[in-house]
Amino acid sequence: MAKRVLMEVDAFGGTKISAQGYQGGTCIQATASFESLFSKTVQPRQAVGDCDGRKDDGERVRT
Amino acid sequence: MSHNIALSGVRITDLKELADVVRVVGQGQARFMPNQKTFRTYQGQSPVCDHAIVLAGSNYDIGLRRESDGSYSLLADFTMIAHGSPFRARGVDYHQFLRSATNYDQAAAQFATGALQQEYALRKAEEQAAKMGRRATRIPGKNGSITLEIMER
Repeated sequence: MAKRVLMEVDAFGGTKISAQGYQGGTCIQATASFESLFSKTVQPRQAVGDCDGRKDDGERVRT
Repeated sequence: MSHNIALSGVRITDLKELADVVRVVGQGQARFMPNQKTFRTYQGQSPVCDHAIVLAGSNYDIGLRRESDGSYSLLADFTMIAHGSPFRARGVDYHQFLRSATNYDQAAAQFATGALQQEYALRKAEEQAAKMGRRATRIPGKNGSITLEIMER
């Protein structure tokens, strides 16, 4: 379980998340819950995307 | 020719929260108008929307359109409002940002609504952290970014 999560929100609302026990994560839209980060280890492949609205390879993690 | 574009950045679903963000970040320069069905734009046109953000002292508004997934996109002629927008991105040089952009209209939209989207994203994350019994602290960063540190209590 991640004890500390850092969510960096840039000047345009884009987010990057890093969590103790997990590092990676690019664009994740801050929408609802952080449960996916606090309740289990999120694999890097589960957090991809660059917030440009285009489909990316891999699964976009919604927090 | 329409100059309006739709911007889907941060996933906006909470209109009550958005209204408060408009009030606080807009600092009296904008009002959220629920259920206003048109917004002012290029050459006096009034396209349809579901809600609107009226900008004080401007001939342009921002429209909100509900999408199929329940979120809202922001609609406007952002190139006309970007520079003077009360929600413009903080800590970003507009002209420098445009020079590095590949899509001028999208860049203008991002800049024009940056502070609005940033504050909304932070608030929703803080709300969720509180629900989970976590404490959240804002830490200012470079280039207008803000980092939310979320810790166990």
